[in-house]
Amino acid sequence: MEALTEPRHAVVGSEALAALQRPALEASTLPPECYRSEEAYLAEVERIFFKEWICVGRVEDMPQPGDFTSHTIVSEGVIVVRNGEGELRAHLNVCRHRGCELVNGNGSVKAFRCPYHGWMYGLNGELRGAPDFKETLHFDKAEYSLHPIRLEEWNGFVMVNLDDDAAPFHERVSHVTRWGLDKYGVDEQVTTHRWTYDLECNWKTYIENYIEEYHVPWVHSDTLQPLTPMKRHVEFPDLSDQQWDLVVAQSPGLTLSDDGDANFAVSERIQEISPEYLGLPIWMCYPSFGVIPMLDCTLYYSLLPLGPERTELKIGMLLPRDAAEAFAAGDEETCRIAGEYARNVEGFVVEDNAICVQQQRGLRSRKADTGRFCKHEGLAWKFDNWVARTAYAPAANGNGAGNGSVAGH
Amino acid sequence: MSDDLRVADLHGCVAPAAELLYEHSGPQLRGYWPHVEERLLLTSPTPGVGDWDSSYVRFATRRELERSRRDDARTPTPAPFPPASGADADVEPALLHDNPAGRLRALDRAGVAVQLLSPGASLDAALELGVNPAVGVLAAYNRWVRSYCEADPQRLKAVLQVHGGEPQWSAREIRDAFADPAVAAVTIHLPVKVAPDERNFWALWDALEETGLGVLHRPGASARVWRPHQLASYLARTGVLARWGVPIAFAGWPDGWLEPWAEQLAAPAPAAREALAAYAQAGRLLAVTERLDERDEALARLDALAPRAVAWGSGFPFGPLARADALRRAREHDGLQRRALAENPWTYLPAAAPAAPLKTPAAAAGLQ
Ligand code: FES
Ligand SMILES: [Fe+2]
Repeated sequence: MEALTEPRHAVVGSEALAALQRPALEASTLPPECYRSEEAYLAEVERIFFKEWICVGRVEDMPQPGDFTSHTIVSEGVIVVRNGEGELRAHLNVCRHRGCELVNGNGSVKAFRCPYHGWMYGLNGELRGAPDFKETLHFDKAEYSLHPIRLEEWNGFVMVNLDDDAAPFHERVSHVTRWGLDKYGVDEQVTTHRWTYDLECNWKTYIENYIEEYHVPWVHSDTLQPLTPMKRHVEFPDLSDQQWDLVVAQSPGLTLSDDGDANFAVSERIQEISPEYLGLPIWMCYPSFGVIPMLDCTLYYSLLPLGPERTELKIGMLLPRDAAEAFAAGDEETCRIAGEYARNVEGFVVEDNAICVQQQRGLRSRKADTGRFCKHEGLAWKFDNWVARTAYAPAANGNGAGNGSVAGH
Repeated sequence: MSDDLRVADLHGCVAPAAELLYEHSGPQLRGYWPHVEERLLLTSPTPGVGDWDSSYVRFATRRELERSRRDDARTPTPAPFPPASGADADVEPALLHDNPAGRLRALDRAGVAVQLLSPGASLDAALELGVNPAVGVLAAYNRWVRSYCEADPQRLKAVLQVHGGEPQWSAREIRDAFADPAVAAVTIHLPVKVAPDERNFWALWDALEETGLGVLHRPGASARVWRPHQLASYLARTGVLARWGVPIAFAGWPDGWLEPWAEQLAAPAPAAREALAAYAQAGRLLAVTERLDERDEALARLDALAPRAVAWGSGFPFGPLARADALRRAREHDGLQRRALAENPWTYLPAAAPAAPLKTPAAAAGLQ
């Protein structure tokens, strides 16, 4: 993937970086500029979103050969399609003739046909039809396939990566078995509800919010706090050195129903999970893919920046396959219960959304400054450090390193 | 293989995917394409017959489309091809739509000099589109197959596909393509309601006679109405065969048609029927068969009746390109097999000079 821009110098000044890198309880937060500047944003795009695995949905979004979904990762359009062999493939959504975007939204095709001059591509991205190119010299259709994009299926999630050299996603998250993600049967579950939000906040505010419990009594006083009080949240910063974190609202088991009881099939293997990880395990794989498995349902999050101060948030709710099928068939009781679950999701999601937008408004102030972390924000500190390390360090080739920064002076 | 044996295979098969027909389409068909697209089916590759290595799209019949909708298919539909013909070393990948070099290598190995190429069911299904889009698809096919044959136009021979519902267009298509050395014959798709002796059809016969191209009649959209014996006796009875010296070959017909065909040629019959046997003797009516067994009764009968009435068509890559023993015997004996493989009147099509029309009283009466 071509570089959008390569940061010419440190995005965060060395002082601010040093302050962030101190132990959590001694550290300062990321400077507010990191949440609003174009430069920080471009550095994150280039070094994080063009390099890391992004969740673009679930395998059930494309059940049949030819079913496709399209996605935009900042500037890069990606098509995910189930090919004729039944496998998912990802291609860049760019015609190889003269660059037209190939498809829009989701749908089902037998072949992709460019709306501009009609080049036709097979589901595996191979150029199958280029009308009137017989006379064009040295033109070999085999050289004009759609650009392939890395794709992996993981527990039913569809992960893509714009970086051809990225390590496989499976390897990056192999340690999730330590807290038992593999015991919930997430791969057997099916999406019943989806939400998409266009939020006026920097994407990092949302990840920090997702991974810290400090806000729960205030932001979720009527929703989550009674169910999962802050004091029962435990962070596990040292569970793995892989690029993810876990905070668990401990309890014998949680679900999304009004009364707290599971209504759908519960995976038997949950019994094998060590008690400290039971309850509401809130997992975030950086940069922006979150999974929260519960007794009989799962929530998943995927965020993409739309700009320095704008973020697209996608959330899905999974139910066990039987329940999802009953839901799809319109079974009254299933629909009622699933509706109840979904209402409860919306209850706390809108609270998180609103507070992140509100925080962003504050961060816009010229006088906004770095803050501090408390003991409930250890993972937010960890995440901020990961971002700073990954995106804000000067370019490895050193061009212009140390020539200044947008923040930290 | 002795040098003087020029083995001609009158029935090689190709199967361009709809993507390739689209690529070779003219602007008119491209305009129709969004409508045409609804008639396409995602199709599985067919291992063992030189097919695509991943799924592709093809034209499907209404019935196939309905079935696939009913099945709510999670996998592509199978190709409308016969099952793979066992492990045939001759079949290189992508032979059906590409890789003419691989086909030529197969011809070399089998000692086959020329092969006429015909499309199968996936093109015929396009005829269910209205006449205009169907003509667009046939024109696209003709462009495609001629580019396929460019690899060696002396050996890979295109059978043009034209539409009986549009004789004027068909005549133009034949005349336009004739200069191409690869073009060797013509298949006329006959809609049910079209009679091939009607006045507006004459332009098509004229074009065929002028160019010396023969008609290769294979089962297709018109198979139900125009089986070989029906078409032959109709054309004889109506005087078409008498008026235009166009040779006709019947290729790709499922087993079992040779017996009634031999029967028909042999039976004592009214004048038109007699003429039919005469046409066969003159090499004007040619039965193309995959089987070349000397003990085959129907073949022996045909051979006795009209020594130039049988030719060989392999059905490759669905059938074996050439059985070694058949070729060996053909070399050694001057019998039916040798004639069918190497000395049939189509070996050097298009004919340098058009076949002479056979005038019989009955035929002359037919077109009045
Ligand atoms: S840009 Fe796609 S066909 Fe021209
Ligand atoms: Fe929250």
